[in-house]
Amino acid sequence: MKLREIIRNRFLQHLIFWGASFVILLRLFAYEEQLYALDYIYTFLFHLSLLFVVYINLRLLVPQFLEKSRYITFIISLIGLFWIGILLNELTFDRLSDWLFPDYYFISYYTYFEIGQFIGSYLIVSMLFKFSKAWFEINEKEQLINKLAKEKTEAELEGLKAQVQPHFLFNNLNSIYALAIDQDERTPDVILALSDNLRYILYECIQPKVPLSKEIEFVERFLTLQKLRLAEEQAIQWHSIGYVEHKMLAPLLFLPFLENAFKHGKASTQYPVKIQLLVEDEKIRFSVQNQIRKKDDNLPQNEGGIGLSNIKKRLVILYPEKHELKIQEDNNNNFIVHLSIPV
Amino acid sequence: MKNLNIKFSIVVALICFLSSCIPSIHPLYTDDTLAFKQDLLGAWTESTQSWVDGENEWKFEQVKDGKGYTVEVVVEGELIKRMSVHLVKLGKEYYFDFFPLPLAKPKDEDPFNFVEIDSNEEGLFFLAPTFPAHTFAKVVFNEKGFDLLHFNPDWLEKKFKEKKIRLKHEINQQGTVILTAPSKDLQKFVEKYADDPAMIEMKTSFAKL
Repeated sequence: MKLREIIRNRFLQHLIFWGASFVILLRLFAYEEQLYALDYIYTFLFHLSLLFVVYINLRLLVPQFLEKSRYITFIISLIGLFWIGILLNELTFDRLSDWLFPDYYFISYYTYFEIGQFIGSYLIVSMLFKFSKAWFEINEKEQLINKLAKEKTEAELEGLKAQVQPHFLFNNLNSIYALAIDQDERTPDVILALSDNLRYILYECIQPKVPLSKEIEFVERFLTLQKLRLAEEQAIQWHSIGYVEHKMLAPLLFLPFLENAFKHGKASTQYPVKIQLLVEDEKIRFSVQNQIRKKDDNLPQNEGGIGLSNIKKRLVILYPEKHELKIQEDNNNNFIVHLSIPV
Repeated sequence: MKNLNIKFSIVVALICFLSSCIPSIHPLYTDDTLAFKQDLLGAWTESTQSWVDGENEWKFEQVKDGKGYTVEVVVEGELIKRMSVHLVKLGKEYYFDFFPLPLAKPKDEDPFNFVEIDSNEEGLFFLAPTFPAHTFAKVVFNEKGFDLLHFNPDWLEKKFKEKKIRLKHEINQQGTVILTAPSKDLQKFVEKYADDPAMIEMKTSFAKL
């Protein structure tokens, strides 16, 4: 049996409590240094009323009244139990002791006030034990709830991340399909870049956090794929500023914004997709700006489709109260995203 | 010589009488348990004469300013014992608490100014119990007078030595048990066990003269 199980064993806890109580009272009651059967019997008899009040309180009054917030009933019952305990102690030495141990001669040596002090002390101490135990149990349950909540969040995150992968693949396959139809000679390069990014998603993004440098590489490969797909060279403006070493962040946070920009933006030399990453000491600022295509009138109003909805949820889970996301449309029909997260 | 033998037997018998219970440091009475019966005042005789042959007289006088009696025991016309006696009521039962007093009366009402006592007669006086301790006996009043039920010292001493009675006490070097329990504990013990047949050693009856 493990130590933790031994400590948590309720029977053992009670045995230790009453054992300690017996030893303490035995020494307190003994008239002489040497202990006799008389002292053990007296201490045992004295404990009968203590056992009665403690267990009636813990098994009946506390669960029936105190735990159900019936405080007045609890206090009245406790006072009643207190007096019953005193009378029971008197009765033990007036009657029960002669019946159980006829060869011994006992009297009740304490006044009502003194017996009341014993009984009151045991009621208080036993309730304190009960409450401290309850506190530990609540604490353990809270820890369990937190653990379950964390697992749920992780599962949710995994689910959201899993949605990114087919989304990403679907968008890129569309590009490759278009290149293949045209029998474009860049098709193998596109497939290779897609392959690298899929490898990154499948094998490196399984960690809760990835190096910012890896994420930038991923973004650059993604932009390379887009450049191959686009006819105009200047359709993408990408700038990364700042020192990226040793900075970590949750994976694939930029991807939904990029996909959104290229799916729903014009991405031309006249209206380039502008992407900027500003790396500061403790946070990064990421922004994407694109000109909205006319046929996607409903998109800015809805602030994107599945991808954007997905990233908003992920940000709330990953950086609660710590991230800043602004999605807006300006008067020039530009769709602008600003994201700020700690690193 | 015959006179000497009678006195000797009287004193020995009185020692036995007064030691028919284990001595106690504390009295059996407390203020709330003291009782007083006017009927006790006057002269009594031990009618059963179980402890001494011959005329005996127990003179009960009320102590000044208190619920108590001073009892003088006169045998064959001679004062042989003075005691302070208190009647104690525990529940429905009565008990006497005996406490030995100097044989002589105080001079001029000063309790500490005693007349000189002639300790003649071959030192018999020194046989009298002088240990200042309380002893107890149960009192049962009846139509003729009252009975004294004496506790059994041998039985009590045996039980104390066997550690069967839980009541504060000391056992001195001579093996004598002396009760040191407070009055309240003594009262509880006496009240609870006074009717136990094993506790009572003998009964003496008293009738009014």
